[in-house]
This record gives sequence, C-alpha cells and structure tokens, in this order.
Amino acid sequence: MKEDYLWDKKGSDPEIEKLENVLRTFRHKEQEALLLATQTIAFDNRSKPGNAPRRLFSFGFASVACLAVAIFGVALLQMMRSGDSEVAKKESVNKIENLTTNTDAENHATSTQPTTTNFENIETRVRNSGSEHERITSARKLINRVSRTRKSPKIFAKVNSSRETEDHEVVLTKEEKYAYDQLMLGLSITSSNLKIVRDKANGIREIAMPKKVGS
Amino acid sequence: MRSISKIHLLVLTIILSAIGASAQDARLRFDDLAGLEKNASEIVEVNVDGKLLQLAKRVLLKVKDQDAKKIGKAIEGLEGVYVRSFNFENDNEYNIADVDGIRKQLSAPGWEKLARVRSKKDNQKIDVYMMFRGQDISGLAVILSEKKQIALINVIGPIDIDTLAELGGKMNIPEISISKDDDPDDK
Repeated sequence: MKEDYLWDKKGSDPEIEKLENVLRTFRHKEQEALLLATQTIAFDNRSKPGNAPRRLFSFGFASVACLAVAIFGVALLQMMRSGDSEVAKKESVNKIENLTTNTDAENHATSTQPTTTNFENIETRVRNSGSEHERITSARKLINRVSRTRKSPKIFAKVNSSRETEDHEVVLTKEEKYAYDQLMLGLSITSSNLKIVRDKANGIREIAMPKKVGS
Repeated sequence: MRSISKIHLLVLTIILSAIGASAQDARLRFDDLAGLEKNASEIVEVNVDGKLLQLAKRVLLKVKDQDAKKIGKAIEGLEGVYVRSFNFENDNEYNIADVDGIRKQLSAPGWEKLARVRSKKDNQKIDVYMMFRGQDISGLAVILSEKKQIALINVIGPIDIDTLAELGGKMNIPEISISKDDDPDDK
C-alpha cells in the first residue's frame, strides 16, 4: 500500500484501486448532489417567496396584540376598581355627613320611616363612639351593613311616594280626563233627571207607572 | 267545500248584522234639532261611547273611592251615553214640536214609557223611556222640558238607574239643578 496514493492519488496502488473499483457504486457524485440541492432551494424560493418572514411577522404581530389587549384590560380593571372605590368613598362620606348634620329632614320624612329608623340608630351609635376616626369607621361599617340589607332611602321614598300618589291622586292623560269628564257630565245630567223622577214618584205626584213594572 | 264556506260566511254576516242592529235599537238619532240649537243660549252635547267610554271606565277603575266603585259597577255594561241639553234665555223660547222627532223614535217597538212627570208649577215635563233585553235594561231615554230648558238623554246598555240617581252630587257627578225655579227638594 502506497501512502501517497491514499493522500493525493499520486502514483498507483493496485490493491487500493481494486477496492475502489469494488466500491465504485458508492462513490460520491459531487455534481448531482449540488444540482439536487440547488433545485430544491430554488423550488421553495420560487413557489412561496417571502413566506418565512411573513409567518414571523404575523406571529410577532399576534403576540404584540395579545400583550396590548392584556395590558389594556388590566389597566381598565384597575381604573374601574379605583373609580368604584372613589364613588363608594364619596357616597359613604355623603352618608356620614347626612347622618351627622342633616338628620332632621330624615326624621320628618314619614314615607321613609323604616330606613330612617335604621339611619337614626346609626347616628346614635356613631355619636356614642369615641374619636372622629372611630366614628367615621363605625359609621361606614354600619352604612355598608344597612345598605346591603335595605334599599337606599331615596329609592324607598320614591317607591312610597308613588304608592301615595296612587292612593290619593290619579294621574290621568288628557284623553282619559276628557273621557272621564264627558262621561261624568252625561251621567250627572242623567242622574239628576232620574233623581227628579224618583223624588216625584216618592212624593206620589203625577206618575204613570210602566206597564212592565206595574203588572 | 267552497259553497259551504260561502254559506257559513253569509249566515255569520246575517247573525252579526242582526246583533248589531239589535244593539243599535236603543240608539236615538239626535239629528234634527236645528230649531232648538238656533234659539238656545247654551248647548251641552255629550257623546260617550266606544273607546272614549272605555277610557272613562278605566279611570273609574283607577280611582280608589267607594263612590267611584259604585258608579263603575252601575255602568259596567254601559255602551254609550248621549246627551243634548239646551238652555234658553227666556221662558218657552223653543218650539216643543222640535222634540217630536225624538218622541216618534221612542214610539217604535221596544221602547216602554217608564215614568211621566208633569208639573204645572214650572211647566216641567219629564218622560222616561226604557228598552229591555230580556230582564236587563238595554236602553234608557229621558226627555225633559221646562220653561227654559230642554234635555234629551239617551243611555245605551244595561245600567243601574237607582245607583245613578243616588250618586247625583257625589264624586265628580255634580248634582245639576235642572230647574232653577224648582223646589229645593227636587235638587
């Protein structure tokens, strides 16, 4: 075996050449492999140009959009929570102010009696408690408890006042009023005449009894 | 099949028109009253029926009052009220023959004279007519004439006249004095 032949194929080595001939079918064909590779790459590039970048772009866009939506949602939730708490704070402060300063109006409102009584209780309990901070805290707790169990006094008052209106006053439309007036006018003339006749009949004056009634 | 349905339709139409005609029997026509209108100083005209009457009945249901309930019950089956009232400046300024057309309508079969009031003192004449459908009142007509007034009343449908007479002056039914020269008892 000649080593030069093995390294750079210089000279000849029958033994190795024999082996080469035997294994010829497995010999590497450089040109074919290159052609195949070129063809494959060329096919992909031609059929879907820019496909890979677009996929990347849509995936990126979707991720960013999801992230933005998530951030927006969280921010909105946070804002709503803070808004609610602000409203709740304002309401409770108003309620406390009403309780401590303007209870007379509530005492006079007969229609809101059940709720007023609750708020009166709150007021006395709040007044009996110690410092201002304690008073506010206890008032808040009690208001929350009451408002959880009962309707607000305003709503209650509205309901009651509408009930009262139903009881004492009937709200009529123009047409209803006209119809009612017309009917009452007609009935009034009719009833007055009938009353005259009845009174005369009772006074046994000139009466001709009807045949049907008289028979 | 088609001929049968036509016959059915014809029979139905006849029945409905007969029902309609019977319901309209008690209705008086206040058409020819031009003579009274010409001389009258004040005219009251009331026509309450159909939807207007339904509205008025609904109002009576809304009002939570005992008298309203009574009136509501008294006029439960009421179908219409028609009134013409003429007031005159001077005594006997009208021609009583102007009411003859109405009297003629009341002489038609179905109408019965229920009451007749004649008072020489104030020249008051009241005639009350009724129409019956079985045992129920289906119509009422009143013709009143006095020195300075003529009133024509036509009520259609069953009504409780006793309750109506009782309720004069109550609720929003003002007790209208028909005759100003009348006895206080008559008011």
